[in-house]
Amino acid sequence: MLVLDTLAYIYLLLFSIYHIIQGTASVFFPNFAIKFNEVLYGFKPKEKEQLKMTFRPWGSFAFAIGVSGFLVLMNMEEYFLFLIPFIILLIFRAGYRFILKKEIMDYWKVTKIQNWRMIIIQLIGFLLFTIFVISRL
Amino acid sequence: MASDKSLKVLLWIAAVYHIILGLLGVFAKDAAVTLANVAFNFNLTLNNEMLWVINPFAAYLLVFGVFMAVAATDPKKYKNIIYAGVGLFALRVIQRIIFVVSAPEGLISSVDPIRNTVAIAVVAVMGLSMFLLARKLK
Repeated sequence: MLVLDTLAYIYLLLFSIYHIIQGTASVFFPNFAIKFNEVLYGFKPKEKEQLKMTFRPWGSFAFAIGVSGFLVLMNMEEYFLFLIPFIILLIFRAGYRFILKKEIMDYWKVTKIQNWRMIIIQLIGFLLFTIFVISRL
Repeated sequence: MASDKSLKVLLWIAAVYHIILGLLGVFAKDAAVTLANVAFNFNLTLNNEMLWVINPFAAYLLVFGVFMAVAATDPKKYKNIIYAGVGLFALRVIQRIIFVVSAPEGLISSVDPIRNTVAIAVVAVMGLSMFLLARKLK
C-alpha cells in the first residue's frame, strides 16, 4: 500500500504542476499554449482565433484545479475526498480520447501512439486515486 | 453559524451551476452555442476545433463544480479549497473585463454594457461573499 500511496502522491504532484503550467500558458500566453499542446499531444489546429479565446476561461479552470491539487497534496489524508473530482476528470479525459480516437487521428493528426500514451497515463492516475480513496473510506 | 449556512448555500449554487454547465457541454453539444452566449458572452462558431475543445473545457467545469460540492460538505475543514475557488472567481472577473474590452468584434456576443456589468458583478459578488464568509469561519 505504501508504494501505491507514494505513487498517488507523485502523480498528484505532476498532475498539479501540469495544470498550473497549462493554465498559466492558456490564460496569459495562448499562442504558446497552442505550441505547448502541439508538442505535448500532437494537436495541430487549423482555426486558431476562437481557440485562443476559449483557452482563457479553460486555462483559468485548469489553473484552479492545479492550485487545488497542491492544497490536496499538502494534506492528502484529510482531503482525500477531493481526489474524486480528479478521478472524474481523468475518466472524462481518457473517455473522450478513446471515443473520439478516429477524429483525433484524422483531423488533429495526433498519432495512435500519442493518443494511447495519454489514455494510459490518465488511466494510471484514475487507478491510483481510486485505490487511495477506497482505502480511506 | 449563519455565515456557515450562507457559505454552504453559495458553494452549492456554484457547484450546481458548474456541474450543469459541464454536463451540458459534455453531453449536449447542440446547446454549446447558446451556452457560450449566455454563460460566457462568447459568439461561438462550432467548427472542428471547438467541438473538440468543448470536451476538456466542459470536463473542467464539471470537476470544479464537484470540488465546490465537496467543499460545501464541510466548509470549515476545506477552507483552503474555498479560497482556491475564490481565486478562480477573481481570475474570471479579470478575464471577463479583458474580454469585453479587447475581444474581436465577431467573437463577443453582446456589447450591451448593462448585461456585461451585471454578469461581471454577479461573479465578483459571489467570489467576494465566499471569501468574507470563509474568513469568518472559526
